[in-house]
Amino acid sequence: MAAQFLRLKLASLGSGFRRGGWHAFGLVVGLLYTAAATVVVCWVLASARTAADGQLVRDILVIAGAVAALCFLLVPLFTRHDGTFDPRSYAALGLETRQVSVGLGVTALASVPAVVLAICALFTVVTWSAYPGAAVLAFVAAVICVPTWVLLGRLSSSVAAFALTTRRAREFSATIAVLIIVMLSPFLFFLVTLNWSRDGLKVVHAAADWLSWTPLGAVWAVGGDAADGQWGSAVLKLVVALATLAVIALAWWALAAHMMVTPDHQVQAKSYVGLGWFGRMPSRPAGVIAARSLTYWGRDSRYWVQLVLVPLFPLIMVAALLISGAVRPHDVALIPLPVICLFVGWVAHNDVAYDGTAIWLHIASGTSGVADRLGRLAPVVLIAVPVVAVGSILTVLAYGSWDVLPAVIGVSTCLVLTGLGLSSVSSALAPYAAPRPGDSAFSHPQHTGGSATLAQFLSLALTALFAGVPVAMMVLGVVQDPAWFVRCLVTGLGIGVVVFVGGVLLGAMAFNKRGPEIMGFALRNA
Amino acid sequence: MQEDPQATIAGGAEAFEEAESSGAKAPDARVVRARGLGAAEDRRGRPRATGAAANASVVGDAAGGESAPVVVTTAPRGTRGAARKRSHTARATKGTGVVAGAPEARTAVDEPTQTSSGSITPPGDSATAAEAVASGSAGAPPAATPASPVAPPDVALAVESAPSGIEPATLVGEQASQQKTGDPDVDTGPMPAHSSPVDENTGSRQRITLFGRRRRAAAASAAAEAADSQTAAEESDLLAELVRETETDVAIETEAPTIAAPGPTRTGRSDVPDWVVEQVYASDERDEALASPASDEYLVETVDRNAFAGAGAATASAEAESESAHRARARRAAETRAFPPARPAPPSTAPVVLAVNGLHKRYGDVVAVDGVNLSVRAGSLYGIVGPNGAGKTTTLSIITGLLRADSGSVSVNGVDARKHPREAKRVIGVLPDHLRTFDRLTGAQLLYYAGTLRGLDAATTRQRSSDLATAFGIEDAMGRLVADYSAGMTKKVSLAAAMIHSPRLLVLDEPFEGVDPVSAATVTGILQRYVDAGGTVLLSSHGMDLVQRICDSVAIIVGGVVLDSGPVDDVRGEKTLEDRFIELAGGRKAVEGLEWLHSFSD
Repeated sequence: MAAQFLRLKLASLGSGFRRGGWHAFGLVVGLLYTAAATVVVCWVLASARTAADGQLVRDILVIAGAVAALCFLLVPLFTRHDGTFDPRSYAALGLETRQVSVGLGVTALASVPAVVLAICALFTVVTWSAYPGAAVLAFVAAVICVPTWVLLGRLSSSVAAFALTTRRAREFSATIAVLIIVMLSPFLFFLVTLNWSRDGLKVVHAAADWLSWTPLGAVWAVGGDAADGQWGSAVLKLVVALATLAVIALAWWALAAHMMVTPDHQVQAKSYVGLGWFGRMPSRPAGVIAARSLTYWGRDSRYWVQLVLVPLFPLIMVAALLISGAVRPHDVALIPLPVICLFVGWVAHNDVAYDGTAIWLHIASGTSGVADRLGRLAPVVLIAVPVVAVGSILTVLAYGSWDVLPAVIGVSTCLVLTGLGLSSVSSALAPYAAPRPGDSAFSHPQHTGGSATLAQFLSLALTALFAGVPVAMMVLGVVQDPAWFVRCLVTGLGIGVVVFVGGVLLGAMAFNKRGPEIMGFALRNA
Repeated sequence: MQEDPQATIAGGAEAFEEAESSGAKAPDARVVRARGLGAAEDRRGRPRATGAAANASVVGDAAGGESAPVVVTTAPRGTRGAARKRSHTARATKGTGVVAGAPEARTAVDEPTQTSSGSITPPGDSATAAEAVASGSAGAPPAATPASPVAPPDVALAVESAPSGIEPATLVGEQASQQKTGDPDVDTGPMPAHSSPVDENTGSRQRITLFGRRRRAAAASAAAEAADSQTAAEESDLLAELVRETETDVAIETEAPTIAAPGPTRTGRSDVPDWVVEQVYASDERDEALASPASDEYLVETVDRNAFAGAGAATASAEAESESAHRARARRAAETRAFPPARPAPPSTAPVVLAVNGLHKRYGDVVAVDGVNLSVRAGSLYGIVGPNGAGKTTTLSIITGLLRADSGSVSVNGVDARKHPREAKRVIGVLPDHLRTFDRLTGAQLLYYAGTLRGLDAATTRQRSSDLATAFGIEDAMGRLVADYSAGMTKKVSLAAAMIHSPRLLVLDEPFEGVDPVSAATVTGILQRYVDAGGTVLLSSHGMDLVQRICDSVAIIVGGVVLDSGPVDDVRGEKTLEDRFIELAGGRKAVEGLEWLHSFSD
């Protein structure tokens, strides 16, 4: 039976190539990239054999291994599951639980991540091959670790397909993900601000020590501990690793058994009273489209998740600039707001794609392009106004001079308006595949092809180009003459309004003309 | 119901044949060989049809090959089980006897039977016979309508086993009767122990329960006769059940027996106009107080299916070369009658609301639509049927402006949809299939959204939303997200959204898919009223029954080409729409090579 499952898995892997064209090309590139990365990792692992500091090798191995294990745990939660290898798919075939859980467990080994993991794990044996005893233990650990993490990934994807299958649960998972990112940001900040040359080794060692006793890191520490002569701790960690494997295997078995007898469940539907945003917006096409967009931004995680990462970019930029010392710390205060505005204005550039095939309603009812374009921008405007208002004041406070206020407003308004205008054009002219309605916000369609990158790049680059003028004026104001600040405001507003109006009109024309093409796009990606 | 060994009839033994529907033209009256072993001889020697019937007519078949007139004799009305009927013609082929009992045996239970269409109909398919009975007994115009000329072999069965009114119900599947044929000693007398009078395979429960009282009585009397003459070997179980079920009715009916004047009946095997079928249907409808017209339709259909099954059973024992012909005729005869005429199509003076000319659309190498022409007049309920991938959805999408045709024109209400898409779209209401809707909105929000996009003001939109919600029965769900709706409810709310701007033309892609029967009836009613008020509906469907029931015109699209179009009755001719459709779509595929499916794995 396991052999049949394996054949199915191989056929499923091979089917990716059968789609041909860019999809196969992307797969080949991805595989080559993975192979190259694997070779590099293996080379590092092999060359670490001769490293002077065995302690450091062990620490890095533990941390990297734990991160890899964490990836096996987390990544399946946010990816799409087609259900081919879902135990429920086999429930109707009259197979026993044992056959299904073992078969699918074995099948999980036949995947690219599992193969990469296996190769890398085997190369840890090479790392410790200077110490024969440690090498033996490392080999045992490697043999244990591969099924452990592969099964963990299997378990995790089944949990995602099973427990996170409802729409609300998927949205909840997006919320969790955002929370994780938010909680990680102090940690990132800690890493960024760490004085690596002085404390780096100590921190790494402490972290590795701590991790090595957790299920995530124990298996990776076995070889290192043995090489270090700490046989007792090595054996204990081996026991921890074995126990982890046993627990995961049992959990997988139990989950598979449970899933095979549990159909999808229905969640209790929540009832809303009244029309919500629809009651507050003007009763015209643009108004209801705005109300619909606002409702979706509130109810559909795919929309607001886009914004979650926006504050991270300026944070990283500021940190990098501060560390590098290229810009005066005083002037760095001027950077975050424009960067945020750039992304806020850009966020709607693929809005039509988020509707999926539901866009037929706009097309079939002959909705005017202008109404469609303006309505879709409403949520972004609603976000951008407070961002610009509050952000400008905060920027000025951080900068310490009110002189700069006109320039800050000019630049950020120009960025937002330009972004909105260009988004209007790009979402009607060049929509690209987005997460489908009802999918997780983090699931990305498989074949976005080059059009996605091109649309993203062009809309961002053009925004930067148009906004480059006021930005240049602001820079001039800072370094040369404060008089540029007021000119910056006027220029920024002027360019912003012109690009916005032009973009909306152009986008409206494209929307009116390209109704069937937009529908065709939606159908292709349905 | 005593055991009378002589009365055992081998399954499917008695069959007689009639000329085909166009009557005289076919001399292929056939005799189906009786396979009743010894029983056939008994029958031949002493055929009888008895019962409370006033007119027991025996229809015998002349020698196969010549179009012999059917002889109908009438027997004086007797008490139940007393009247004996002599078969005037007993025809034997290959040493087997053929006897046809007259269906009239069951006709007049309490009224003198006239020479009604019913009484002549004996050989006609059972449904007609049954209806004729009903009409006759109800005093329907006794016009001597020529009998429906088609007499599938199964009718013989029916007649022979007496209760032609009920025999379709008694006809079990081919296999069952064959089994019984192999066992001629089946004890016909005792009733089976199980109480259900329903054969689940043939679905006759519906039929029995739908029987009107008179028809029931007729059936019962005929059944009694059958019991009396100890016939019905092969259907004995079901028959007995039926008898038991209907005996009470008989008792009631026979309390005040009417003397039936023995009247000569004429056989009409010659030309039978189409309207006979309709009239039979109509009179039946008039008469059947117990069955609503709707259920009557259903009833008739069930009956005919059963008759078909019976035909299968009978033909199984027929000559091999004639089997398929028998079948086909039986089918045609049965099913032509199975449906009432379709809605009348709008007159040719009605304006053309939708004109589609030479539509072409290809996706890469695949030609989806290859020169589709449609002309839909105002007030029409127009159905598009076609197999999967025939281009229905593509055609509808092009009409609604969701797709762009490679060539061809669409004119909506006189507006060229290509040149003035927004004007054209304004008068169309759209229900697409397999497209998402904005399902994160509540039902109320979605309707409001659709209405406002269509240019309605807030008050109108709200008013219409609540009206539509009430009409579709979804008012309780208006506050829930459409994403949480069931498929049928989503369909209904989408349909409501398509109608909210009171469009002139509704384009509905599979509007009944996934909709439960009750909701489907609601939707049908709404559509019919909309059409009666001058609206126009263009819908696609896989459901042939539904299309021929509710639509007045139909287009059959196969492979992106309209193979036939026009009023439903014109398109289907004498067949059902389904048969016509399958014929056009390439015929039924013979399924072969599934023998292993019939040897079960455990």
